[in-house]
Amino acid sequence: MRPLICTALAAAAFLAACGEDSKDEPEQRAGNGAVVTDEGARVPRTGGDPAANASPRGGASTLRALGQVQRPTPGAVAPKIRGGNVALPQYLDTLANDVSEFWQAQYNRAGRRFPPTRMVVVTQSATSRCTEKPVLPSNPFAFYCPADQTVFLPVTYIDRRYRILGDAPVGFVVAHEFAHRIQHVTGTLALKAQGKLFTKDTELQADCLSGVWAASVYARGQLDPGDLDEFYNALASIGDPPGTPEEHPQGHGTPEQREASFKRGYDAANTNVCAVRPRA
Amino acid sequence: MKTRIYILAVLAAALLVGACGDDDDKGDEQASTTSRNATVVPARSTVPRYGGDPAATRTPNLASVGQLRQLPRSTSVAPKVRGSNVPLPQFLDTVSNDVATYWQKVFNNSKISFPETRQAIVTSSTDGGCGTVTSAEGPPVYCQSDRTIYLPVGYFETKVAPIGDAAAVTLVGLLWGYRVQDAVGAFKAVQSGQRTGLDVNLGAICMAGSYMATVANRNLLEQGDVDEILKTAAATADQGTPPDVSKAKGSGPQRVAAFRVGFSRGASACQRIRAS
Repeated sequence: MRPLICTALAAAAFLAACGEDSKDEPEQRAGNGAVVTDEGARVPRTGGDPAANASPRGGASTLRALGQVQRPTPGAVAPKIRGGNVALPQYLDTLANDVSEFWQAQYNRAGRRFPPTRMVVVTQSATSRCTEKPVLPSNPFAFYCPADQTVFLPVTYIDRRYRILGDAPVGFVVAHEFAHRIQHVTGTLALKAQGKLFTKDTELQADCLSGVWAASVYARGQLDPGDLDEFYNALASIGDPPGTPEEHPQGHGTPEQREASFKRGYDAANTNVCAVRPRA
Repeated sequence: MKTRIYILAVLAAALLVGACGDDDDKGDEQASTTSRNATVVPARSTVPRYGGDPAATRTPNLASVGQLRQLPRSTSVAPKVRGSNVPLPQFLDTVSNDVATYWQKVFNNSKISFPETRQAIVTSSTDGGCGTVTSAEGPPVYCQSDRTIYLPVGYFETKVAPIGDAAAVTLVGLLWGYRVQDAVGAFKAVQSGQRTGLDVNLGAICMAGSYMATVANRNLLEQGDVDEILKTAAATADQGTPPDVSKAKGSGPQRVAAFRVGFSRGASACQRIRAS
């Protein structure tokens, strides 16, 4: 098992809390890019300095460069996005590997480097620079912490909020949080910290990028009938309540916007449709 | 003609901690029980136990489901869906009241009136509008002719409790789903051919899902509950249900999918649940 990914739903809250960190130049960790997490998880062998790619233009050029997802490859070895018969932590681990390897491959194809990323499947307790308290399995959201360059995936929370909606939504959570890591790398989070993007903008982009990942799952023949419905159900269930202001510091978009954003990425199977424009 | 909806899911009711019996300390008069041996818990025989929103003047009809507005999160006081020492009859009463309160609020919020409903916690046996319900044999049923939800304690103890407390909650939620279906005229629609029995069954489990989301949102689920819930939602066994409604419960996956629609999108989405 390599990359462990911690995803949280309400990443927004955390990102907001840690927004300024995203401007910091993340320090290099273990030389080969593998980082052991609190719970012994390792990240994929991805190299490079995240700051090298940081762009105040929201990473549009990177998203263009990453572009189209791979076409179906007969016989390609891929983890099954099917979580029915394995324990949730194990399933999350598989997904974490899948998502990170997918994006690593996209970066590689584009000739770009993707920096080390940690993903922690929280089954007991983990620590994060984004919060003083320990991160527990019941933490009420998954999140990416820029200061840690780490995605946190609280197992108990994901069980009750996502697995109950199916195996696909569990994959969504992982992909969504990893997308925040990509936003960190591309400088999009920095843009938000400067007030040029609303939280909602970055959240909807993360949904879009999750859709691109889901398209790759489909392309690999790993999407079951019904998985798409599960994705959209999950997105609908985590939208902002009616009346949430656009600029809300924890806004994620309405249910309709979230579904539409994911669909945009899924239908195009191309990251360039996920680009966001800085607000004036 | 008697209409019974029998739900025989294999469920098990563990115990719910009901530190919540709070809801209503008004202590209405001892409600008349439907029969000598049915324990209809005092002050709770008619649920919900408040009059509802005066503004809720619209009579429910088939289109009402699609008009139901979701509640803001965590507005209701809930029973803890957690094992505890609460006796099963009290647990069932608390849960059913919680579901009743949920639907009352949803209908109020949508300005649609919710008709009076009764529940009977059956500890021995009782004769009701749909015949005899015994504690041991049940089955749990929503009876259309007397608008009563029958919760047979022995049945829950032997068939539901072994699965878990969340299974019991899900089953009670399903019975209330049938009650809502009846309230909007879905049973009649089956008779007139506007709906199929499968539509009604899948819609009911969808409605159970919309209620269970409120349980999850109140952070009342424990380890293992998700499996209990999904297992219960998938259960298709039934006995004695009228052919027009209950012959077709749907496949397990079909039922779980319907449950998930309600869970993720709320009660109004159950309007779209159609078998074909």
